[in-house]
Amino acid sequence: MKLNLGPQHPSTHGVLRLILDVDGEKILACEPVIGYLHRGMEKMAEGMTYLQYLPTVDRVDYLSGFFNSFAYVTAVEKLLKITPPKKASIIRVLLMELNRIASHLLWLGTYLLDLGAVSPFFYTFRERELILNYFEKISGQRLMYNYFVFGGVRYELEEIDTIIPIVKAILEKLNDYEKLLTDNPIFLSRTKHLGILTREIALEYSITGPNLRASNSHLDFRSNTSEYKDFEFKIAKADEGDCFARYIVRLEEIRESSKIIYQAIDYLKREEIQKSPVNIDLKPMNLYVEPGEAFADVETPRGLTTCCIKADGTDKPYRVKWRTSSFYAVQLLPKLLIGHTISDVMAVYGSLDVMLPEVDR
Amino acid sequence: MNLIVTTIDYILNWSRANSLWPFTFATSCCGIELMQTTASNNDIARFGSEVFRNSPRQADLLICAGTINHKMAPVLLRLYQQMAEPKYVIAMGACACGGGMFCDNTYAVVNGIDKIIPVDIYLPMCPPRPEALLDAIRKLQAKIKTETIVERKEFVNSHRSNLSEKAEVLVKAPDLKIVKTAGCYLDYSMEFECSDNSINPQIDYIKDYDSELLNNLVNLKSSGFNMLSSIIATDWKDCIELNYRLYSTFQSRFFDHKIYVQNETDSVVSIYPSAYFDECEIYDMFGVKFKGNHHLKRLLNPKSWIGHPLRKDYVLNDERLVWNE
Repeated sequence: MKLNLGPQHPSTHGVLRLILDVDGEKILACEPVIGYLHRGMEKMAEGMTYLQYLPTVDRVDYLSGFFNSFAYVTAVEKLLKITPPKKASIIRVLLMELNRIASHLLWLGTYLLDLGAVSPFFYTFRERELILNYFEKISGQRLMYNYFVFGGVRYELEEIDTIIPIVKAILEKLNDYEKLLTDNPIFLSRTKHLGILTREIALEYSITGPNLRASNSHLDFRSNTSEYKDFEFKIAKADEGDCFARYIVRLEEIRESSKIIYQAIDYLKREEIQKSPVNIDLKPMNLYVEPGEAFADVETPRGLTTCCIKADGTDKPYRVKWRTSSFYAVQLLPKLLIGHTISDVMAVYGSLDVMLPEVDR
Repeated sequence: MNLIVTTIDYILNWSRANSLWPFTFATSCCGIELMQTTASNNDIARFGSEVFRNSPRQADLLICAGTINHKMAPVLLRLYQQMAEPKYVIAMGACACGGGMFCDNTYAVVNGIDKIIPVDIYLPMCPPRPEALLDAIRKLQAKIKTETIVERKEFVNSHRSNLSEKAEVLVKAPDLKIVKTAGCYLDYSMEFECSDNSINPQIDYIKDYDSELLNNLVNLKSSGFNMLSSIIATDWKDCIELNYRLYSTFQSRFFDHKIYVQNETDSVVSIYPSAYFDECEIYDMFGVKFKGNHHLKRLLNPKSWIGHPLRKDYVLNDERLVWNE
């Protein structure tokens, strides 16, 4: 029997459509259909100047707007051959890690909602709100920040001292979540030994991020990024490759992100950094970029995002390509789902943390 | 007589306004704020709207949270038609109101859902704050309370006459059958038929390593570049550049393998299975065919789309849209 799931389905958190071939409850085959949120962002770039395109990139993945801005801004900076001031890159790291925590919290709440537990959704959204309120204070927006600019960040970071209480509160609550979930027999039986992804298959299918690190891999593109050179953190990792391992990795990443945030605040309080400006004044209104191509890779909460820009010497990009990790995670779904039952579809799909705007762009 | 009608109106409107059950329909960014509205801090339950329904049959209020593109438009219309009367619509976010930041320079987005369905409340901003959504619900309640049954009918009918021609065709669409499958009431029976064998594409690809590209990639893979990060295509007007961006987990570095093609090249799915979606996307956007990839399909655009949008000779033109998929 063919079973159609989506594009309007409460658990896909977006508009994914799966065509399942089922025998009773068992899944024989699965075909993902995407494109229900295709907004043509790559074509848009060709008709806009570099500055006009800047607010749009937050929408590529609205749960981690800072990461997309970072990828785009870094690629343009590489083309312009400028480096942002030290203070700006520390602020960028700080905000990106806060954003990573917010994104993982949302994943945790909605994933448990998919599994049938409603209250964690309310808890994680309460904690996430603390971070969003801070982002709103500095950028004026809750989801789309438009805060990074070519050559730095837009404004001085305000009220740095309020970050530490936020992170501390979240870490405290994180222990509560673990008490609630990690030994919970229902949660364990829904996630253990389910959707097992081996390292070899993950690499063949170009899977990155927490999904890959839950399959016994150390690959984290933060260690390749020059902004993260001064920060010490452990790469969270698990061996089993099942849904539970992905949960463990994400919770661990929240803890590691908080360590980076503490270090960044320490850096920002140093005197020589406090004096430095937060951006290079570029006059971005008429920004002509020399011909060439640049890649910028960033490790987002969902994996590797690459922004590739090809410039042809005018004030508009010739071509912008977004390589996003969820695109490949959707492709992996048939591989993981075949043999499982229909009730496990959302347990597996949710554990991959797929964002549909990132898939369709 | 008038006394009876107004009393009925009053009672109906009072009960309708105070138990608006929304339908979970979130496509993009605004959906996150919609979720936030239901969560602890904002608590939509105060206004009688906490019962989110997953089936359109049981819902009164369609909060269209997010961008609607040409592939999603027929789905939105069908869901709206399946909702039982009385039904109300809030267009949440700039995209749903009028295309927002995607109204220009792009080919994919419907500029405002009022081209398809009648809208009661427009809620701009990108995205609106949860408080703004609560305000929109309050405004809708106020609107419902002052409306008579006759006015409501006129409102819906006046929208029907304003519909564009394309949408008119879609509304009538005689050949679409509603097929009820579990959890979903959409009609896609035609698509089921043609998607039979596109499962597990990696199995039956030709393993033909004669060509230079395949040879190079096999060599690169054996020398440690075990991940194909992505294939980046660029239209240089006289040819199309394909950049196979490989990553080696052993050496922690990328390698760009570029080739230039006209309209056809070899598929690399047998070497890197992750290339399947990439190749479908490039076929969709640039029209490049991949020899050996038997399941090439339009990935992001609707099947009936005309042209290949990322080619430089593609003219952005709304008239190309084909909703009747």
